[in-house]
Amino acid sequence: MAPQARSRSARAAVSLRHASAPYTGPERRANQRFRLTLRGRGTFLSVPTRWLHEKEAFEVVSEDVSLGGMQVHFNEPVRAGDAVRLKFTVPRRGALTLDTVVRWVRHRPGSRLADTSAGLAFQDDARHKDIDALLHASDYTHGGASAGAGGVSAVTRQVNLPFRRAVEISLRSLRIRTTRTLATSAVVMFAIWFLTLMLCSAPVQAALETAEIVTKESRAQDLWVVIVSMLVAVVGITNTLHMSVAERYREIGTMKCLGALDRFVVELFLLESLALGCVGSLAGALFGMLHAIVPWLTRAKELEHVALPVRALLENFGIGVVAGLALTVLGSLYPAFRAARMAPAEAMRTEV
Amino acid sequence: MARKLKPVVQRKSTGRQEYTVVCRDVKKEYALGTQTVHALRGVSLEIKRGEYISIMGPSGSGKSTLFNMIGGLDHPSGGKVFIDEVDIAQLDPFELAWLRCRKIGYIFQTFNLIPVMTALENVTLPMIFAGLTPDDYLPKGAQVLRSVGLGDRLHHKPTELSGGQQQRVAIARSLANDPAIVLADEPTGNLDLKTGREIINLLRALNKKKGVTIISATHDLKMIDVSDRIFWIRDGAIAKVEERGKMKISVGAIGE
Repeated sequence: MAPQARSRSARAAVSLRHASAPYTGPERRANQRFRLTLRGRGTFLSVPTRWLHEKEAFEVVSEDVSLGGMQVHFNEPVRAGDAVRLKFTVPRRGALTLDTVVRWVRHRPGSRLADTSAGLAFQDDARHKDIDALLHASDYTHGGASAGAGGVSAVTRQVNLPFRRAVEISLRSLRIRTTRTLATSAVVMFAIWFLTLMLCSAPVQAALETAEIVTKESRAQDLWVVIVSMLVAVVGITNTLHMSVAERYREIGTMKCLGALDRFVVELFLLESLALGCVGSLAGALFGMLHAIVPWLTRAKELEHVALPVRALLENFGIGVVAGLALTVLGSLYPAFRAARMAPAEAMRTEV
Repeated sequence: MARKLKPVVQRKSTGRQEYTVVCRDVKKEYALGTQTVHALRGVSLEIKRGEYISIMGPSGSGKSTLFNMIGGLDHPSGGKVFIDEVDIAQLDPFELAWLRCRKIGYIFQTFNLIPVMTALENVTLPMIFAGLTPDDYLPKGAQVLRSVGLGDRLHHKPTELSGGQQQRVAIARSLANDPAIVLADEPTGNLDLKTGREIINLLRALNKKKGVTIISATHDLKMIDVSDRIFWIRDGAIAKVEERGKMKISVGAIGE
């Protein structure tokens, strides 16, 4: 088949449509799944589809991969030789177009959906990256589920949460729950303040000792203090975050009823906890570092010739921020993940 | 030889399946310590497309459990539930999410609105999951809210709405993506008599106008009048199935 010029391609905004035969047999039947099968240049791609929106324009039915193409029902007559552009909307990638040519047309008088079915084939210049995008577009892949040909199945259907919406929802949630947000980030801030203070005290102390302004104290005690402050941070932050997520289990169950995938819920909570954690950790680490420098500043006159251990201080500041972020995220992600994985009915009846 | 194909949208409703929801011997057991509670003991039922079904029974009879099974909100311990002839236990999470997003709408006794979002945001949340853009979902959400009578309260939060209004928002949310089935768990449970009646009339209007299959689990006797069929459930099993046409209801009592 000769490649058609793009400008003469027909445009059809088409998508996929469900049909099923009456159920009479065992649960897993081959034709209970209708596949969009595309094959070109040795790549096999199968898109299992079960339910699709009632308002879609054509049905894709193909179990027959020997055609080297795709079998499609259109709702309007097509003729062999027509060039067709199929547009799929792939989550996170936008519209994907495939230019194909109708190779054959068959009339199916008994079909409930359309009068004709057409076999399509890729043009010679079908883009591999589009096929790859379809392959990778799904939220999961079946390992070798396609009928024996050893391909990868991709699901392109509209259940997704665009990142912008997720950010919007998370930030709005934080903004409205002002008191809770402030309280939680205050906990993070104070815990990280304590941690950073303990971490930064060591180099400042060391510098003061070298200037022989303070006497040398036990090193082991320093280490213990740091460990205790770390434990305080861990327990305090994770407990607070866990509680603030657990009291929203019912909300999580509701969102799953509205069609949220597990990972949407986790994503929303991740964004919220990142925002909280950033603000709390940065503020806490900053205050902690400044607090640690106070003994230095009170003796400023005597220490004019001794250098402030800036590098160590900044390193500890960084450690404090990272620790705060990590703990915040971990503290909120675990309960969110658990709640998202529950059946919605369980999540909605969980009492905290 | 190229011809232009116009994008075609097929709007005919395809009444192809006779039964939209089929339960086969559904069982549910909870383990409470050493004992097992049998919430459902082998329930089998079939529901046609476009019917208004009420599942009625006293508290603890298993109607909420049955509701959860039908809606795919929980897994049965035994038996199968088919929605449009596909066993929902065999769906992967993606398809299950799609089912809940596009095919089934849920209404709960406790409304379950997200408290930090306004009415409009609550209604448009399932549309966001369905992949609509703000240009599409904002007008559609407003229109759905208007159709339930809350056009002037789009930007009120649930705490600023009365119980009846919150339930209306919940109904609007369940209709956001034009589902084929609406499941209601005690929709009038937390409402007074007058508001309950309004909600029931609203559901009935939806059923008649749009042909949505409505399945409600309730113990509110006001539902009897509007249902096509009533499943009486007791102790986890269906005691009786009645058709509205064959019942005689007199004011003040339910007669046979």
